[in-house]
Order: sequence, then C-alpha cells, then structure tokens
Amino acid sequence: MIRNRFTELLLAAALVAVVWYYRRRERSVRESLILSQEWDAAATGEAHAPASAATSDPSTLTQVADLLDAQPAEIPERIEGLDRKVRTLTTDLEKARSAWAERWWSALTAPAPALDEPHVTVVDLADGSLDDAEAIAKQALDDALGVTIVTARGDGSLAVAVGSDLDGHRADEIAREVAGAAGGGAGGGPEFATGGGESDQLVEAARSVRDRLVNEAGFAA
Amino acid sequence: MPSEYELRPVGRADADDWRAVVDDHPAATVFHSWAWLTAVDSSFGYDPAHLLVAEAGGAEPVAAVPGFSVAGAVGRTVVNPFCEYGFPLVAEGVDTGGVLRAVAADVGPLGARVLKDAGWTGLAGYNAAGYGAVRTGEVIRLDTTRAFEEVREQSFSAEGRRCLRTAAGSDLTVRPGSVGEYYPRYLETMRRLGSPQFPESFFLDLAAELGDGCTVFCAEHEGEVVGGVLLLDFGGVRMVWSNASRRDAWEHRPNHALYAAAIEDACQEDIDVVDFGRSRPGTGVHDFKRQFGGDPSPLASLVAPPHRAGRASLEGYGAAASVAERFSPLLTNPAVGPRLKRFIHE
Repeated sequence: MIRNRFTELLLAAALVAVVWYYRRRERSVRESLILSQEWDAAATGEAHAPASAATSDPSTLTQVADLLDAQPAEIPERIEGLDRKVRTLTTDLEKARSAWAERWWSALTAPAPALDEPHVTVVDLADGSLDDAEAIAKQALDDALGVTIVTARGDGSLAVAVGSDLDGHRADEIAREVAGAAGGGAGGGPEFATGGGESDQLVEAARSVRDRLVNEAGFAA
Repeated sequence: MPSEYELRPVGRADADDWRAVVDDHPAATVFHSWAWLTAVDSSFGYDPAHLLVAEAGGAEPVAAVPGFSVAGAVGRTVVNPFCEYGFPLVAEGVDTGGVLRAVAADVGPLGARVLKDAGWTGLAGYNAAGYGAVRTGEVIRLDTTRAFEEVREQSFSAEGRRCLRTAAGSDLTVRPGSVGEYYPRYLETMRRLGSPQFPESFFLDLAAELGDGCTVFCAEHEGEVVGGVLLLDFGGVRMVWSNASRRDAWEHRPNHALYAAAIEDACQEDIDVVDFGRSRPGTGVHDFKRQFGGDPSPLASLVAPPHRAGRASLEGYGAAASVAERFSPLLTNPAVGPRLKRFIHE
C-alpha cells in the first residue's frame, strides 16, 4: 500500500517536472524565434535598433550634464551658479539703465561744449569700471579739439582721450596728473591713456586738472 | 531535402584555404582570422569546429564559419569563445540562408551551434534557417577615417573631453607597451572583479600570431604603469579587446587617456573603424564607451536549435559576478583562474 502510494507520488512528481520542462522549453523557443525573426527583419529592412536606444538613451539628466560640461552630480551646483549669475546680470542691467537715463538727461540739459575751440570735459561714472571708462574715452577720440577725462569710481579707474588737433597736450601726461593726485598711477600714449587711483579722490583730481587746463591753457570747460 | 551545400571541417592543415576565404572578406573580423583561432586553440585546447562551406559537388569554399566545440552537461555546443563576432563569412551572391541551414543541420542530436553576430553586418536568414536568438549586449564602432582633432571635437562627449583634460593636467602619459607590462595591470583588475583571468600565455600567443596586429598601450604616472589597453587590428578595424587600470589611479583618468591614444593612433594609421567591444547598455562600462562617440550596434547569439538558446545566454555570468568578488583570491589564483577561464567562454 505504502509502496503504491510512493510510486504514485513519484510519477506525479515526474509528470510535473516534464510539464515544467516543456513549458519552459516552449517559452524559450518562442522568445528566441521572435528575436531571430526581428533580427532578420532589421538586417534586411529597417536598421537594427540598438538596445541602448530603447533602454539607455542618454537621459535628460545626461544631456543637461553634457551641456553644462559637468558630471550629473554637479548639476545642482552649476545651476545654482547660473542662477546667481543671471540675478547679478539683471541687477547690473537695471543699474545701467538707470545710469543711462540720468546721463542722457544731464547731457540734454547741459550747455553744449564749444567744439570749434580747445575744450575739456570730465565724465564721472559713479558705478562704472575701466571697461566703461575706456569705451567712452575711445568714443571721445573723435572730438579733435577736446580733452576728455573719464573717471570710473566702481573700480577706481580712469581713461583720458586727447583730440588729434591738440598739439602740446598728451593723454598719458594728463592721466598721470589725475592719477597722481588721487594716489595712483597711469600710462598710455599721446592720444589715449588709462590709469587708476583712490575712487573717492578721482573726481576731485579730474576737476582740478580740468580747472588748470581752463585757467592756464585757455581751454573752454 | 538534401542540402545544396557541403560542410568541410577545417583542420590545422587547412590554414591557407581558410585564409583564402577570410582575409579578403569585407566583413571579416580579427575573430575570424586564423591567427586568433590558432591562439585560442593552443591556449585552451578546445576542439576546433570551424567549417568551410562549398556548394554541393563544388570544390571552392563559398563560406567560412568559425567555432570551437565545448562539452556541456548535456551534449556539445559549438561556440565562439572570448569574442564578439563569429558569424559566417559568406561570399557575395551565395544564398546565406542555405549556408545557415546546412550549418544548423550539423549539430547532432544533443548539440547546439552558437553564432555571434552584430547589427552592423546585415546578415539575415537565421529565423528561416531555424535559429533562435539571444541578445547579448551592444558594440560601439567609431569612424576613424578623420583627423583625430575632428573625432575628438565632433564625436567625444563634453564629459569625455573634460576627463582627457584631467588626464593631461595630471602628468599622465601614454606610450606603446608590451604584453609583459600590461599583464600585471590586467591581473589586478581581474582580482578586483573576482573574474578568472586569461593566462599570460594567451596574450603572448595573440601577440605572436597577430604580429603588428596586436598593439599594447600603457598609461604611466610618476614612472609607474597604472593602466593599459590591448588592441587587435585586422582588415582596417581595431578592436579594443582588453583594458585594465589601477583603481588608485582613476582620478588621473588613465582609461580615457588610453582610449584616446588608441583612437588617435587609429586616425593616423590605416584603421577605418575602432570597435570598443561588447558591453551591456545601462552599465558603467557602456556609459564610459559612449563618451567617445561612434555608432551603437546590437549583438546577438544566434542558436540552432532554438530551444537550446539558453546555452548562449549570459545571464548566468551576470548573476555569478555579484558573488564572485567574495571568492576573488580563489577564482583568480594562478593555478585556478586560467583553468576556470576555459569554462567561461562567453
């Protein structure tokens, strides 16, 4: 009796194993044939789709990291830096717009310089930098009879332009005179020079040089 | 139905016949070359089961199929060990399906034939010839028929270029090297991964058989070799077949420098394509290779008969890798590792 029972159990287990084996085999055959069919279809027609295109196409994160020239882990820090930069630039833009409006209005209401005789002009940029001062001074080179002294108190710099028709006056000498009075130094050529000094003394020094040119050399202010 | 093709087993005396089919075939890879097959044969002692295929009644071979017969628990399997490609090289105008059918019919009652193919070959006819398939990963192949500067700027990712700048800024240098210099770094890497190693004699055999077609580059830092790469050139294609580096030197990006050197050298030499070899999408190795650009192409093992497709699956190796590191000292023991490698013919 027990022996018969044991034989039955053994046969049942063998049957389960055979069924399991053939089901597994059937699934394996089906899957592998589908894949080989797809493989042939791709080889004869459309291009093979690399697995990476479907499963590991560069993620948005990776693409962003590439754009930022950074590792994915560095992205938050880079974005924070970019955000800071945008905020700083926006603030600078607002300041520049305000300064531009103020100067435009001042220029409109100021008496026109006597362009047909030697004249001297002082331009003060309260928040300006050397780049700003240089840009204005270079523009002033078109003024053939003018001496233009631009002070930029943002970084304590200055630029001087001397018109090409003004004999006996050199930009580097005037720049050194202004910078020297403001506790700094300067250098450059006969028509264009730059320098720097103490920010809070630059305007006063520039006006002092302007007054000397008016009083001693007959420049119009 | 009798086959319209006849199969001829290839013995060691048939080298010239093999070369006549393979050497001029436009799709031939280094893994089809007699040099590679000889090196595998002499180092691992598998039974060669390469076939030359001729039209029935004809003498001239029209196809070549590489493979080695290895014993399994049930029956033998003909495989292409340690390589990416083992697809049949079929002459132009020959019916590929007929060749594949003839090869599939040759496996015996408990046997199986595994042919490793890639999407870039465009070879078709497997399904109709009774083959199943298993996807095994992906290769990336980079066009090097351009100036290196163009490859670097147009194909390398920003991250790849950044890592190369790091390597350049850390006094890491790359120079041609030898198998003897490379092997210790390879062995260290295998020990780190807990993966049985190739015997050094296999690398030396490869170098001897391939001659100028086997190139080693070594990365040096502060006078020490911290990494290397072993390249196999054949028919205008360079395979990056083995790469290793010391973990404590990774901050200097030796692997990036080595890949870039291999690519730059390929651009200057008569190499049209650099093939970075198999990797699985989504893994760190694959992401690393993607940094150098190139076109991805899928890899599959085509298996006849299809119900034995499991014999080509790499899932088992992947599962074993997770525990292998724990047994690294045993698995990579000089007396054990090379012997085990014989059974891991992925």
